[in-house]
Amino acid sequence: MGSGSLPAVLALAVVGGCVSGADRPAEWAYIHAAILAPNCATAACHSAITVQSGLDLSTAESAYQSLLRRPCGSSEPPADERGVNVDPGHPETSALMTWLRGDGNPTMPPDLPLAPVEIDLIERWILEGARCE
Amino acid sequence: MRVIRALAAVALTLGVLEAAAMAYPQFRFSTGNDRCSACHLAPEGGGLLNDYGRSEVGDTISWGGDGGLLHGAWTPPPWLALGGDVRVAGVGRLREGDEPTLAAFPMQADLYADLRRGPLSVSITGGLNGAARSRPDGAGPAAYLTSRRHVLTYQAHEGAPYVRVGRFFPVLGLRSADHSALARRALDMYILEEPYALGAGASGDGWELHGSVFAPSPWPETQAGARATGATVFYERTVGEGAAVAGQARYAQGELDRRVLVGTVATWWLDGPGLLLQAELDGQGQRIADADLTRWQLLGAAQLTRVMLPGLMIGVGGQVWTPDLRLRGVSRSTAELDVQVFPWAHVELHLLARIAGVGGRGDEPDLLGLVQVHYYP
Repeated sequence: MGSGSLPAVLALAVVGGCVSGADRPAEWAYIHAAILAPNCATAACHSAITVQSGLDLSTAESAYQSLLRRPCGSSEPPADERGVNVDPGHPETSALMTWLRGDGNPTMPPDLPLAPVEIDLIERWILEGARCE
Repeated sequence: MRVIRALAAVALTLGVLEAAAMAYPQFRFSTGNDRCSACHLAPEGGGLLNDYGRSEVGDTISWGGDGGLLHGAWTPPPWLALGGDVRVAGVGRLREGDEPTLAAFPMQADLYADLRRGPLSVSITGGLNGAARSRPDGAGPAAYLTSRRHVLTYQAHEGAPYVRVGRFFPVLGLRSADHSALARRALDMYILEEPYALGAGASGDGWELHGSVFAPSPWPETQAGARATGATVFYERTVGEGAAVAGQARYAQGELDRRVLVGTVATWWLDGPGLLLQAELDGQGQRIADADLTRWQLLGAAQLTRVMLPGLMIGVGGQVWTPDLRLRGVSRSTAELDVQVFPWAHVELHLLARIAGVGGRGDEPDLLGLVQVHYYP
């Protein structure tokens, strides 16, 4: 389960985190498993059950396909630009950022928004090309 | 248009899907019973009531009425137990930067059946699964119905060790009736996240032990959440009069990560002032192999309830969920006030006011007010 000791963990629980978003990887494996899946792929929203707004964020593959409208590993732009939520390299034109920041009222997720540091990580991932590997 | 979108989002998120009501742990100890199974057929509590539980509905919980099925209109044969949960809710929410929202919606519509023959029983929960929600193109009527719980149990007699198999939440944590609580989300006990499991348990004088191994539903369109394979164990001892302490552990290997959790749950009933204190503290390690990263996580929950049975409970509580202890600004926390009124057998009115914040947004908390009418026949 990696390194770390119980006293250190308990100390962190009391004083709060000590690293910033720059110390977390802006990689799809992390973005999906640590941020999108637990916060967005709930039963009522973007799970395989309801697929709200055509977004199934439950698996890494389905989430990537849903957000970019192309499968992981493909460099081909989507044939139809409609429904593309991530514009690789351009967070400013990515609909996903609009929803997460609340510019497209209401803010997503509607039950509890993401932390700013998590939104910044997603923005960095898009800026760096929104790769899936 | 923006207001309509906001209303829709809140309603859809908070409850048009069935809300998996679990136990009311506040009734434990305060009603003179030291375990959930004193009133419920399921060892983890929640759902169908046994005969004693139904008598408590009328005599102890509510200001009046008959706790029998359909208010005593019909008594099923001894081999059959029936029941249900129907909830409707109204909600208002304030969030910095968003339009204020107000919505009313159906929250839960479940029917329960339990059939017994000797030591064997089959327990089934069936209900609407977000009938007001849209579904992917091509989805048939079956996509609007679900059974989040169906269990085959062997138990020689009440109080004896049991073995069960089927779809159910393993015994773990405080098991709050509130599906939107941070604790239930963190423990993979959110809406429609019930796995398939094989479980066993036993209890004795002042202790109970439950263990389960679990796996995801083979039908992805029926289960949300982490879809993990793993095991849980929960051991609890009563400590003196009206208090219990439990230790728990969970291992879950999911498609995205591997998690190991250890924690404790405590309940303390102060008979004089009629106060019930419940608390849970869990630490978890999450390994995201594809990102070559391990995160340490913390879950804490505490609730103090003034139990004024029959008829009224008032509680204050707080929860904190930190998905990454080392990363600054990602903790989620809530504080809430709950007022629960039981004016008549089978009826509950629940008023909830909650303030919630995400790390780094402490000055912009979400404010939520919820009114819920609950009928359980």
